[in-house]
Amino acid sequence: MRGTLRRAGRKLRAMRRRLFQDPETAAWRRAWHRAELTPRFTPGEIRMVDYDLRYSDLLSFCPQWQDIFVRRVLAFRNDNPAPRIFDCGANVGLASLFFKRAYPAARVTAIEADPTLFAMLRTNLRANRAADVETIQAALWNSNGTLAFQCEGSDSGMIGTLPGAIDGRSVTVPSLRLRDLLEREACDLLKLDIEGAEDTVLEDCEPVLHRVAAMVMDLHEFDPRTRQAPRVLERLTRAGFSYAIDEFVPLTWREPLAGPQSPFPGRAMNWAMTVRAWR
Amino acid sequence: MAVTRTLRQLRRAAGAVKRQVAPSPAVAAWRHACREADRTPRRTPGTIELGAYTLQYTDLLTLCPQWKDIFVDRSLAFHSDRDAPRILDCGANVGLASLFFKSCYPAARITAFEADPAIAAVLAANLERNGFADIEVVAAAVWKESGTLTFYADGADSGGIAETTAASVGSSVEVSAVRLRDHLDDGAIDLLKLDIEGAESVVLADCAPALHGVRAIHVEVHEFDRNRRRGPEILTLLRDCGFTYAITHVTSLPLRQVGGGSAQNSGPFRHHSTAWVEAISAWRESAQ
Repeated sequence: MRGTLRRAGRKLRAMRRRLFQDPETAAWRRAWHRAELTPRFTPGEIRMVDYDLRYSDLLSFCPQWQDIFVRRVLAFRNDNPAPRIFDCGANVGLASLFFKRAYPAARVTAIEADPTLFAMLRTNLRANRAADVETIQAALWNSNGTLAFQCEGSDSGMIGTLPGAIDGRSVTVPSLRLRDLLEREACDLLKLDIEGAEDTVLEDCEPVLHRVAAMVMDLHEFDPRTRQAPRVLERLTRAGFSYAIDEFVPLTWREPLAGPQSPFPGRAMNWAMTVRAWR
Repeated sequence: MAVTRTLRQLRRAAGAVKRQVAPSPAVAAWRHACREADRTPRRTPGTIELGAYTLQYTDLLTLCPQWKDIFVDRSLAFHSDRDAPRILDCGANVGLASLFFKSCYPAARITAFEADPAIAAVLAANLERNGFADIEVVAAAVWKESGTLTFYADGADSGGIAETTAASVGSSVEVSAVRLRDHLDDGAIDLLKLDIEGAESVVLADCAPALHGVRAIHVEVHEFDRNRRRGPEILTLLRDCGFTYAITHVTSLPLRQVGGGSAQNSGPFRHHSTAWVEAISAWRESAQ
């Protein structure tokens, strides 16, 4: 009897969530339906809640929106009403918009390497009440200069020399040392989504990591021969952070998969996970 | 385009209805177990029919996710060219993993280790009752040395060795311990399954010189203590011992956070668990 009641309650709550969606979820569902009808890698514009947004690829834009605005994976608490935030790997700007929504006075710097995405990022920030977000077109790295960057057209562009780099249109982009930014000023939140460059950049930043109060990082593993996660996590511990891992995603669509001769044929060898670090 | 989309949605809906109406035997058994668990109090021993098995349990609510994980999601499935692979099932609990291995490889030569004496008795009964008396049961904790250890028995799936379990759960009992490394010297191991609630880093470090005879490993890394993370050293050890590895799952366990589920635990990121389990598969590329 009690079991039946509990199950009925669960079903009712699921129906209520479906019928009375919050606006972010409703917008996400609409975008998702549209993505099914839109060919991949076709740029366009879409209205999401009170944002007018340009995108380069609707199918990768949808999960970004879901993560950031529906599941609020970047939410963080800060007593400072104007927290200093570095949004590294800003893509088309959803993270920066989310930070500005949570903290209208936040001082955000958004950094994106892909020239096409960077143009969209600027447009999106200006069109959506976030013109005060500073934007920098650069790939974060351990030196200032230029780098070959593989553009993928959506959310997987990366530095061409990294292990497991994807095929794509190669462009030359400026590179920027995150360490220089951190030496100039401390930050309340470092959001890092830089597609495989995490360890190189954090190794370079290690002497100044004490200037970072909190970090949300997408940690990627793209190459079975050169794993970086253990090194990255040990750096965090050495720099005095506590951390937690969440949102693990096996990248089953990226080669290589475990071979047919291995005991676990077809297992994904690439993955991404979210690491949250704090003091 | 619109027609394709409608067709796709219809096919998805039809698939969902079919799965609901005619579930696979493993899924049907899992649903049955969840329904029973809904009306059974926690930590009450009993017996249940699941699929082809008659199973004793110590806590039905923890048996459900174990069944789902092992028999529905087949998370322990592995491929071996040998008819009788040698398997060490460390942290065997009530025996689902060993039963699963036997369902894939009826001739598998399995040794199952379980530290909690009460659960080890259930394990032995389950294996015998379902016709697998050839599985060797060792009622001992796997550890870096033989002897006796203090063990926190929680009566379900979270008991652990006092030295490596961050929070004390349940009642403490003295249990015997065996050195896992001694069992690795007896010949090649096709699969080492290690789910030992926090002791994995100590045991693997001790076993490292003897891991050359192990072809594949499934290890659950328990990250419950935010002041003492073990993942990086285990992954580094696996690489240094010549394994290729893949993380296959990360499961947040907010209820296992040290210091309770207090929201202040994860600093500015409230409501994010500081406790999780990482499932890792490791293997040798040159194997077989």
